Amino acid sequence: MDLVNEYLRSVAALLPKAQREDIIAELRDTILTRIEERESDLGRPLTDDEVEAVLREVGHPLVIAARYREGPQHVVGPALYPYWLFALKAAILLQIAAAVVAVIVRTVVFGNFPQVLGQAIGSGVVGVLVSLGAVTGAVWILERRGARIDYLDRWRVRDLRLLEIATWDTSTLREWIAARQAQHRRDRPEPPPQHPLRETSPVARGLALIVVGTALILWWTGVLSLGLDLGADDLRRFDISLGDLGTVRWSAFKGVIFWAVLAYLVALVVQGALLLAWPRARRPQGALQAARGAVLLGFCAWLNTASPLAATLGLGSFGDFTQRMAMLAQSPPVPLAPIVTIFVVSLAVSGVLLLLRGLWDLATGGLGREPGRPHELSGSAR
Amino acid sequence: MGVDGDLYESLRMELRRGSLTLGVLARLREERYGYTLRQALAADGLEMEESTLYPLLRRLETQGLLVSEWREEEKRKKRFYKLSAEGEAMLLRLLDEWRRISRSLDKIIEI
Repeated sequence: MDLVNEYLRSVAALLPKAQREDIIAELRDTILTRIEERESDLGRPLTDDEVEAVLREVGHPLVIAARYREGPQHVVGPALYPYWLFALKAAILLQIAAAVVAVIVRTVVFGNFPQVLGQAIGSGVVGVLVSLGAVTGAVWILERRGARIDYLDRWRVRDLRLLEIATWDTSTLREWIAARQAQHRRDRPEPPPQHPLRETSPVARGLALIVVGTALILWWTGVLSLGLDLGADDLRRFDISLGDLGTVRWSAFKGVIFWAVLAYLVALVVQGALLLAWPRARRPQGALQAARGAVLLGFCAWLNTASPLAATLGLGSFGDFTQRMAMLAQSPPVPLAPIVTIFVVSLAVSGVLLLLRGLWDLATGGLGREPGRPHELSGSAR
Repeated sequence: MGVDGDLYESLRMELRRGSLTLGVLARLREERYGYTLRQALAADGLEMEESTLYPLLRRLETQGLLVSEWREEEKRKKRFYKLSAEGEAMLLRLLDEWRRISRSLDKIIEI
């Protein structure tokens, strides 16, 4: 009898309070009936070992309690499993991409590649585990809340392009390498192999824009610190002096450009999203790209003439530029001004390129773009 | 055997799951408590684990297909289950479906 009570106590502890009494009463009756039946078969009371055997037949308290629990008895059910797997794959790919970028940037800034690599692997492992936890947690909640994601019920075929990113795996890379080798070996003209990362795919470009844009927004708003916020002291360590730019009040300067830069970064993300939604709408994409180029150019012009940096930065002629570049040849510390100048000039150049490319797409509907994707070309020619 | 046996077991479980519910509902047209229900099902050739039967009864009651009542019998309080009106309607519909499946399968395997 003590054994039965002990058994029931451990089951009770695992049951929800509201149903506990009810379930235990019924379970007790079942067990006692079983024992009595066995006793009348044998014609004598059961020994403790025999009672134990009966209870073992009934089942482990954890299993018994779980059977009475409402809701699914799994973390990820078969219905959501494919979505879970896809999200996990995508999250891990993003983690790897972020780690690679971090390794490159930090190696450039801090040197010491082995240490940087070690840190990246460490944080990469943590990142993958966190992704696993987050994705699984999200699906766990979905299984239990019975919430329905609209997308899962009302998906459209054109949304499926998003899935392209997860089709990339090592076999794609191997095929690409094999195609390359075959080409070298036979030295026969063959169609150019597709790039393993499909960088010409509008989906990949859209995702890249979204990822880069989001990362930059997080950095700009101070949510994400890359450990790269260099102060004047750090610059001195790299043999760079602030020079005239030391007089600029940087926080005030950031305040002036804060919303404009933020808006531009948001536009990046929006363009990425549009690219995913309508990958073949070349003309609107071109218009947006041209607008971005124009904005970049305007920003550079403002930096050059009217911003707080203009006094130091202002370039009037090409002569000014060569003179500025000559400062780089000085013995250290190198002043910051030419470095910022290079940055602004390259920003302006990329603005011009964006503008031209955007205008080209706007005018021709993307003619001659996307090499190696003939179906894309025929699509845009329509 | 091994893996094949496991596979057979899991397929058999899948096949049985729905039929057990049907058997339980049909047997509860007459009021019974868990133990006698299990005996009755076993006598009909439908053996059922207690750990499967009791949670199933509880679930069916929550779904309104069964009603239950605690009553004393043989010196102990026992929980008696009976098919509700809703359960009867549901049982008839399910039996229709069951017969349809059975006919189809019979046709397919040409008994």
